[in-house]
Amino acid sequence: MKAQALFTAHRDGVFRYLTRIVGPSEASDLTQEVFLRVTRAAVPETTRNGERAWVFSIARNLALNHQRDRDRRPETVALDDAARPASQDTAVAMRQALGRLAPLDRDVFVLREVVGLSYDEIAGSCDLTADAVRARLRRSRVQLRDALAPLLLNGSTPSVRLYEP
Amino acid sequence: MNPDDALHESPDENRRRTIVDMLVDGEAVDKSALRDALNDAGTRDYFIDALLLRQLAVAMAPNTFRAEARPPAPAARVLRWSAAAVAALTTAVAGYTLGREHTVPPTVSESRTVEAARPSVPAPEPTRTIRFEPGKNWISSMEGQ
Repeated sequence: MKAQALFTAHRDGVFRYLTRIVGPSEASDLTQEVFLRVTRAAVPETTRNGERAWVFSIARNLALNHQRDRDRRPETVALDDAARPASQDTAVAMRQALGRLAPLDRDVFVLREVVGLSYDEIAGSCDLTADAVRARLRRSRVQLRDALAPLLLNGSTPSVRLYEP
Repeated sequence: MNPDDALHESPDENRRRTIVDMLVDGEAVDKSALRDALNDAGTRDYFIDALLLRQLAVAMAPNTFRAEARPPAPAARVLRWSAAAVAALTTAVAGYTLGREHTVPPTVSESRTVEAARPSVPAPEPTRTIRFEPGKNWISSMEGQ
């Protein structure tokens, strides 16, 4: 029953995180795998934020294992599509820039910016202190800013909004 | 790797960016410290870029898990197979019943065909009757006639 509640509450967040880390084609399967593990495991007695951190630590471990397996397989090269729309180019650029971050920095950035976890929740998921989360988040922002400078300056989004993910 | 690696920030820049990070991440910040931080053009750019990076990260891929991608629960699968079996059985019984009720009797044209096949002129009476006798060679006796 508790696993069902966790699935309802966090499926979109887990899917969002996995989509950015392993890619959209495999994120659905891995999301299901995360909640299969949640069902099998004993849900820890903790706060709601602690539960969220626990679910995302499972998602992180699965994503890490998945990437390790993928690194062992021969790499496939995507064909460059000249007719790709601008928004898709932006997504590709963002994906590449994220891919150049250190894996832990990327996790911290995605968990904060896309999933909306607090510093403490990210610290719980990634086995870090809140200060380390803050520092890694800063470094991710600075590195992504450098990598995507032309896009941020002349990108297709003229407006900007302050909102919580 | 130290989290502060690759950051070439002066202490002032670090302090101003920390305030912006806290604001962007939903934490409470001191308003005079924020005003002071945003007085710096570089920090204002950092603030805008932090918001843009969040927008790009959110927009780069789907954000909603599609429920139809999940395999059906075992109970739902059993229910689906049961419904299929009931539908197949109903179709078979209905087909049999309808078939029995609407059996087509032999048509009149078939019986007429049989009558038409009978010779219109009766066959002539036999002129000679040969009795069957086992062991007798009919061919050689016929040749002798």
